[in-house]
Amino acid sequence: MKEPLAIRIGSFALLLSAGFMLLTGSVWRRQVLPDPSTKPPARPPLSLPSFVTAPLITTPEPAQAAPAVATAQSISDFDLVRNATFTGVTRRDGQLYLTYDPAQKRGKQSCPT
Amino acid sequence: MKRKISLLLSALFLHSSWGPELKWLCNPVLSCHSCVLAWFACPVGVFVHYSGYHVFPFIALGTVLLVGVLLGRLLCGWVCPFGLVQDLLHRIPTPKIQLPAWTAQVKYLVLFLMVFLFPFFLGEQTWLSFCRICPAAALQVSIPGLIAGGASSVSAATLVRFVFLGLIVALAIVSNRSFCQVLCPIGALLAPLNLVSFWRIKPPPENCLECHKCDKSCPMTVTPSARILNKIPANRALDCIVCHECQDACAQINSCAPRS
Repeated sequence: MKEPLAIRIGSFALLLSAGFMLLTGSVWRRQVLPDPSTKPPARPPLSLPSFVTAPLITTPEPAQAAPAVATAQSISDFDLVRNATFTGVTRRDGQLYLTYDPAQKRGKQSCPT
Repeated sequence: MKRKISLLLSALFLHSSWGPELKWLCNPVLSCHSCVLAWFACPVGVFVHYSGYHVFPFIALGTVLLVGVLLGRLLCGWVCPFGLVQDLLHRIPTPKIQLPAWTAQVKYLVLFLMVFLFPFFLGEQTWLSFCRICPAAALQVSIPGLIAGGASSVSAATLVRFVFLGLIVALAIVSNRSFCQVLCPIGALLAPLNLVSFWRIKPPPENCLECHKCDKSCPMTVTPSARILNKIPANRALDCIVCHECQDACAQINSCAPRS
């Protein structure tokens, strides 16, 4: 039994062009986020229970100011991928919000998941 | 040997503080982008987050498609740092087992449920996402976090991740590349692309001797001889990681190679 060459080449060309189209499409695609003054609504009740995320052994931490939450108007798809690597964007009530202040300089960040 | 060097070099070079931060681009291997040393974004992590955002993952899917269509699962065999970890673990001398063939289907379920479906309905931070049990994240993020933060940084989520890492390590010791075969969602994404990929492992130039050396050398036990006998490239199998071990072991190819 020989390799079905025509089907393979056809599928190859189709998938290759699909990959190119997706990457090309991502260059122009932008995500619109709310105005910087808008804060995301509170977490929905379906989020992780506290016993999952809370450390088993807790040590008192120094008091910190609440993190500033600011959002940009529009970010590129590449920025959204970069933001996804450290949960820099979250979705609440059908809307994407930045979880950090983009104006502040930041170093490398880790994803809380 | 060349493959081991490639795996080692990519593990070192793709996770180094002097490298560029290209986290707007996905590298289709299991390497957690949450590691501060990682250069690229993990496609699985990006899929999980985009599912939670309800946004179509143009870049992640486009990259996986392009790489997969050109190379198949070549990166699994030659670049994936967690593949290197499994290869090293399997060298530990213990009795070895072969997992049943049906277990190879589990990774497609994991991909569908834990990468796309659960994060879509429950949000990207759901306990049921693949990132919560990812062994690469445990190695690259949770263990360094534990060392840096001490016992106070351990949460139930970290413990769950460690339990899964322990299971996967134990399986990797007794069964070669068992994680790639059973659980890896990137493997599940790339596997069908092996069937159409541009990259191919050449069958022997003359009739196969049916010595089955290729079958014995295959780390994924996907019996390359079955395809070689039919003059089909050996990597046209879903679970082949395109390691070329079968080609190196082939008596026919080696007998045709110029002698020094």
